[in-house]
Amino acid sequence: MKKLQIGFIVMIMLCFVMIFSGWVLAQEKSKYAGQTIHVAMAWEPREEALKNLTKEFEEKTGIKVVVDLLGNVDMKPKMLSVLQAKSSEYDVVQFDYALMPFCVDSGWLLDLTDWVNRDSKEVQPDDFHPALYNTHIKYKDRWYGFPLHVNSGCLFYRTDIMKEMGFEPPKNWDEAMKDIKAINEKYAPNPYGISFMGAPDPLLAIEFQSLLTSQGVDYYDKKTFEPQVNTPGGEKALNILLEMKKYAPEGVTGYSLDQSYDAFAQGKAAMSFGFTHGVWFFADPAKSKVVGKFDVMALPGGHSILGGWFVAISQFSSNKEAAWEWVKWATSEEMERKLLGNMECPRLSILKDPEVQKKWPNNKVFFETLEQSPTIMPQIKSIVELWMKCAVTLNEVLNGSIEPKPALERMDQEFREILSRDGYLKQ
Amino acid sequence: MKSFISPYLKKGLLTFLIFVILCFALFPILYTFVVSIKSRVDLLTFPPKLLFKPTIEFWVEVIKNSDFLFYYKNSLIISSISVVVVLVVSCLAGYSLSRFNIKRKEDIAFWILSQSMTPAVAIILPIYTLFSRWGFVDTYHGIILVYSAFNIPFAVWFLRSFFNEIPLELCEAAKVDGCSPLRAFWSIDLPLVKPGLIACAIYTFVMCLNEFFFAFILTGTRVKPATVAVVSYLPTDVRGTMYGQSAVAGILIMTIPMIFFLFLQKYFVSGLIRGAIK
Amino acid sequence: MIKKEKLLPYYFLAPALGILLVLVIYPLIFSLRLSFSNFSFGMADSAIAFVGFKNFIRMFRDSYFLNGLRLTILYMFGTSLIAFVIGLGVSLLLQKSFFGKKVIMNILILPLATTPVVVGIVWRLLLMPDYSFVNYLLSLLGIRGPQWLITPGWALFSVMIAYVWEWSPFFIIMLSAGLASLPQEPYEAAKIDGATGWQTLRFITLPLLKPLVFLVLIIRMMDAFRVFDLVYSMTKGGPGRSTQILSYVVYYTGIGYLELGYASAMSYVMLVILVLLSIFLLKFVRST
Repeated sequence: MKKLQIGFIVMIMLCFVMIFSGWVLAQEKSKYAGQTIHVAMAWEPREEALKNLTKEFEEKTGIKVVVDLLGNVDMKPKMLSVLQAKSSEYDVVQFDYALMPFCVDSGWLLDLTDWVNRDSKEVQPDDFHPALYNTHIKYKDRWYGFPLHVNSGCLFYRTDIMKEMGFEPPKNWDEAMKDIKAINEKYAPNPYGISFMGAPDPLLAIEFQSLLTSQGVDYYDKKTFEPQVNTPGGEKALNILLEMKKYAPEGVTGYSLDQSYDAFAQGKAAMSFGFTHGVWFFADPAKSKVVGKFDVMALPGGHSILGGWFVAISQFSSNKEAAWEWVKWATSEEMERKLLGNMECPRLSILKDPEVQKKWPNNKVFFETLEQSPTIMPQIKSIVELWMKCAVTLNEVLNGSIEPKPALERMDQEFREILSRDGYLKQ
Repeated sequence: MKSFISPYLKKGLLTFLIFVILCFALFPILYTFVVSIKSRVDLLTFPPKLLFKPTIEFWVEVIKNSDFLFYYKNSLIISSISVVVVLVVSCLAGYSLSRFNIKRKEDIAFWILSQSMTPAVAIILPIYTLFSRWGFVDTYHGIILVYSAFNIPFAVWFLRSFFNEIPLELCEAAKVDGCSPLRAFWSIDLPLVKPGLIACAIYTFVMCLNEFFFAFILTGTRVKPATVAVVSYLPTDVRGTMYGQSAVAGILIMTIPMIFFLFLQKYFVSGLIRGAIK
Repeated sequence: MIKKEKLLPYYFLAPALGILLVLVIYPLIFSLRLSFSNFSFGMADSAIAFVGFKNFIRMFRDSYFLNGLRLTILYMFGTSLIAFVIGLGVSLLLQKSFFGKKVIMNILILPLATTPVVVGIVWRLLLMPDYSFVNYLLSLLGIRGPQWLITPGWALFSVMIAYVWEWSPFFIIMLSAGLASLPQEPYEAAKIDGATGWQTLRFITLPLLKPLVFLVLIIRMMDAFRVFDLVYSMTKGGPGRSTQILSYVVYYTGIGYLELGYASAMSYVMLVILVLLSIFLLKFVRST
């Protein structure tokens, strides 16, 4: 009897010990528990979803994370001020991939190569699509960023109208323009042939770059930096843009991305030049009247433009290791799957998944684009100046205040100036 | 000459003119309200839908489901403390430049005023650098200091003209009575410039409440004011410009200055006018 | 004791000067140094070099800068004059007392309470391409309105309308208070001489109001010279560059194109123009 009692007491004590040790183990979260990191990201749906999920990370590791979502247009001045002042205000920062070389050359981003190698099991570096390596991830063969927000240029079209007209998705721009013209002649103004971004902001320049690459040229030669806009290819690209304007709603020269999307969503355009994540805009009944009546395809000329942002750790961060834990968590495969409803995914294992491709057609288009050598935005320091000046000239052409030929000459000259001032183009 | 226009016609014309002007002043504000209760799909149609089903989704979203009220509270805290700082500091400086014999005081006064013309872009980087060194970024005292600095010049200049207006005899009399300069300032001059102080306070408050650029760079999640929060309703990305939400936010921001203007208009106008004429 | 009294005025001045020194003067000196350098974002401190007047010379060959300067001057004079005319007209109308005057006055100054960022959004909605509500109202009158924000020429005018809307109440309250404080004798004399309304306005009212008018103009012109938020939220500088006013160009050169040295030089030129202009206008006020 006594033995039994002792055994019972021992058992209870054992139980206590086990519970207690379990509690201790649960308490021992991460080496960096108690630290606080600050993350700056653009205020977009995917980033917002990530912010909401960050609680899980905090519970798991004990690291406190303050996510600051900034308007994606005005984020840049803030980031520049923070990093130029070598401030530790933010530990994790987000940038447009076009600016990665600039940020690295300025000494603002932490070289993550060794950590990636150390934690390669968690990071799974080979799972990122190879096409993203030279844009969102590496620079000069060192690892700096993680693609956290990726997309590509694409064309949206109204399935009902294409069906009525008996058209197939166009294979190249000549075919596409023929379709757009026919639709416009038959239906305009309900709907017009196409909507695109015609306002003088960088998106117009980005759009133009994908037209250039569809004609076999680019802003400039990627090796010699010799401008290529003032060539027959450039002229052809500009003519496509001018022709698109003819079949677009009247206000198109004032459209930025959202106005262009509004035109398509309100049923005022049969096609729309946009980015893959537009599917959520058009599938949202609060914003769109074309729910279920549209589809998406890669740009007809091939070489759709690759867009997106990367996250990196600031060189001036005071909690680099804790920030690294968060970056790993936020870009893990598990997290990518959770965030599928918000944006395209950079990981091969998910992109190749037939179920994902079926459920999220934008991922299918994005994957196709990555496979067919996408157009890369210029990764130079003065990228914004190049975009803005190019967009202003293009907008003037669309307005009719300058003829195409002098416009191309002006662009050529402005590109030359910018590229030689930054030391890329040798005279 | 006079008989060309009959008095009735003249009166009718006048009423019509005033009506047109009232419409011009009021219409955009009313339209903001309409935008705040019109769903996006209804808003973006042409010709506009005059009869539509009003929705309160934007009001609910801004007030209940977002941090906007928190940012609004920040705005009010920052603006009211800045007003106090500006008033105290500029009152002293304005008094000094009006009453005491300082060499070249006209030049100093003008020089102070000219500081308010500095373009913000030119100095934001040095200010940010200083602030991050001192740990002032994203703190109340940091942004209040900046707002004060940029409102002091006008306030000094403005209040100085009020002090100039007070007859010197009053002060002399006080001196004869053995009043110290400090005491004279406190009990004689200050009460006399009350209208100026009120006008200056309202003006500064509205300027601080509406400021965007400095707040954008110098604040983060903790003390972000409402103007910066409004701009985040204007993304150029896939969500599209949130007209409804920004209209709600805009209405909320303008309520308090409007109340001020409506109830303190008398002081504001008389203060401004006296400050400006002299 | 005497010494203390002598220092008192400086004690009074000290807080204001102190704040200005740290937050305005120091940054200004800093950016003056920048404006003579090749500094751009991302540059290491060691790479910053003195380039003399290169930035200033470059500016006067830069078509964006010159275009911005022209537009800014146009904008500054345009908005101030329109707002002044509206302000004077309305305050003359409101001079007589009539039923409901107070309410009308209260409504008229409401635009002053609005936030520039929001003003921009509302006016963009009113004038937006394809959905313009103003054009709808015009079409009711049988007028086909222009595409306000995307036609060169109309775009700057649209931004000016929004600015005038926000700020003409300022003119209205200042001028009507000014009118109320004018002496009555000259008007009675004019009435006896049989002067027309226009003559009274031209030869009596305006000269008497002159100091006030110039003062209000200075305050508004300085502000109009620096306008940024309105342009940004209404046209983003477009179409082409027909609304890229100076502050927009400076902002983009500094923050967008990263060339802070050059942008500082531009903003210094802006500052000098502003100071010269205000000295000139102040002289004008004092001389009368």
